[in-house]
Amino acid sequence: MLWFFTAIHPEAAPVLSHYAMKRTAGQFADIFRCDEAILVLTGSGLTHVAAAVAEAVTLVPPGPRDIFINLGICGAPEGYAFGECCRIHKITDAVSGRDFYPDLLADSAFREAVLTTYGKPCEAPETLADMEGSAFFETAVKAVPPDRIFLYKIVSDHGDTDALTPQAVTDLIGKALPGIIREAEQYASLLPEQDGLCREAKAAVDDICRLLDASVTMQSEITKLALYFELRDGNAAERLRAFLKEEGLSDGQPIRRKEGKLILERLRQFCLR
Amino acid sequence: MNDYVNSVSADGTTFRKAFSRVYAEEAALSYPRARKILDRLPGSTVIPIANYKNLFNRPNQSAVLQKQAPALILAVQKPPFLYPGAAVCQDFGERHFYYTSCIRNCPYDCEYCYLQGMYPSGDIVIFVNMEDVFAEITEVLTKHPLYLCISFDTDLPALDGLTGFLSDWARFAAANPSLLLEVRTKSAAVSAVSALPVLDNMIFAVTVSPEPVRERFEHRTPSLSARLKLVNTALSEGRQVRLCFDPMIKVRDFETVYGELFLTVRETVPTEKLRDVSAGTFRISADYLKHMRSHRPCEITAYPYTNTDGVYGYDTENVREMLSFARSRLMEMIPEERIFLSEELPKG
Ligand code: SF4
Repeated sequence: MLWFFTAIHPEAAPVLSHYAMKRTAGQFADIFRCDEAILVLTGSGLTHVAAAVAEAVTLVPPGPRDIFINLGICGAPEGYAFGECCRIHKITDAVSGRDFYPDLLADSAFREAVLTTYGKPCEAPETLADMEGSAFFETAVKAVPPDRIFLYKIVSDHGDTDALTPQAVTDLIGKALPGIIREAEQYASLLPEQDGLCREAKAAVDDICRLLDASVTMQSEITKLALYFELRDGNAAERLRAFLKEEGLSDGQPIRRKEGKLILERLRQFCLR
Repeated sequence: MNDYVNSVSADGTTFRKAFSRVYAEEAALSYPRARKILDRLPGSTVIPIANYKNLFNRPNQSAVLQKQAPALILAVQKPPFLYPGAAVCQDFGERHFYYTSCIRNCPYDCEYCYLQGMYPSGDIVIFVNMEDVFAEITEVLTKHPLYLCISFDTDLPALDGLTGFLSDWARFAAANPSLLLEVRTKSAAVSAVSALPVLDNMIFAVTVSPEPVRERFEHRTPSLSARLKLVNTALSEGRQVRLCFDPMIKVRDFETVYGELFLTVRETVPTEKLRDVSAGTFRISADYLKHMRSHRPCEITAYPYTNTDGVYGYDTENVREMLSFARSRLMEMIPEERIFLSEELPKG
């Protein structure tokens, strides 16, 4: 799932229409959702952004392949063209002086750049400049690792924002959006799936726990052994069922815990064969 | 490549080339070593940083993924530069056993590597102020001799094409005979090693593993035959070479798999020329394993180890069997007093 975080509605508009999202609950932020994506309209300024990101991840816990994207316009020094979309590899918070580093582990189609986040508009930026990036990153990184935090900034001005209309902002974002979505989806496909046991293996673990009258500690041990089977041979369910058969427990009759402990020890030996 | 992550996405996207990003402390950039390294990485993006710890020690990093596309971090190391050897490491009977860490992290990606439990990042830090390390060693050498492992938290020869650090160490060792260096490696860095002067106080400790173990657990490492080529070249040049069968992994058919390794070594290496050999079974501190289990679920980390005084390993019976087997095979190649095992076994 892709998560988009934008400060203002004109930045959000192309994402909302691309995904045909619906608005859902949110106290500090407007949150919009569909099956493939979430958009969080954070508002401008460091405090609003931090509160909105924190609220969003509390309402919807991120999955292991989710990508967080901060998408917005920025000021830039000369040398960056109007409309140029950049991928940020370093963020400096101008107020605290702290630096933050998103990890760019796959190549980007966009020019890489440094972003400085200010508390108020910056009239003569020396790097790309915005009012959200550092707060977004600092809060987001508590929920997802830095390789899954993407910041894209699109140059809208060189320090003078007077002539910028909402429609111009929407157009700038809309133009860059397809490339951004492609890049984020491609990276997500490189990420590992959630680890753990498949449904069949979990059912086999449950059966063993019940049959052995397993305590909480024993249950945890059985689950760990099942995970070892799964990671070594990829067939935990099959191996666990084979063990039950070997122990004559396939008829489903539970035994006493004392005996269950002995069987657990045999399961350990069976697992190491 | 590691099974745990997908190296290529459905549409052909891959992780970036290693070191395509270089983070450099501003202070590090004034060192000639930093400049030389950067000259060897044309085309990399250089990102200035104030302090390497702000990057390397960040919480919540995807270290396993970073290993697929590691960034390079150039930094200036602060003292202390020498650390006493850990209890889980073999000291080869040396009294003043220390290690130093001029590079942190390794370009290889072994699933059992303790560095994954030790460091929060998969990126590689290179400290460019080796003169400061040399100064501290010189000071220590006025008090006692030193046995110093310089390739513990990395694989120095594997990175030598980039750093050239081996020749700095060789020069320093040549000038300090009471310093005994150990350079541990899984590399096949024949030309880097051959370019060095032959020194009695510089030991090349080459770790070898059976091919099935290497293929399954030691991602990106050179093949057994390539590592043995390094061993044989170094021996033919008259260098001090230690062969390490450590860690041995308890795989199915352990005796067949490792038996083949010992046989290959016996048939292809003039083992009488080896300084010594070491063997050990996989063992790791409980804290490191805990971290590795949550970050890298795999056959190695999920194994149901036994915890003995805060160190996880195979159970005593297995350890004894594995070490006895190794010792019996090693004794066919080298006198017993030159065999070092990770755990005492009854003689004979
Ligand atoms: S070669 Fe050694 S240091 Fe490098 S990854 Fe493997 S175990 Fe770790």
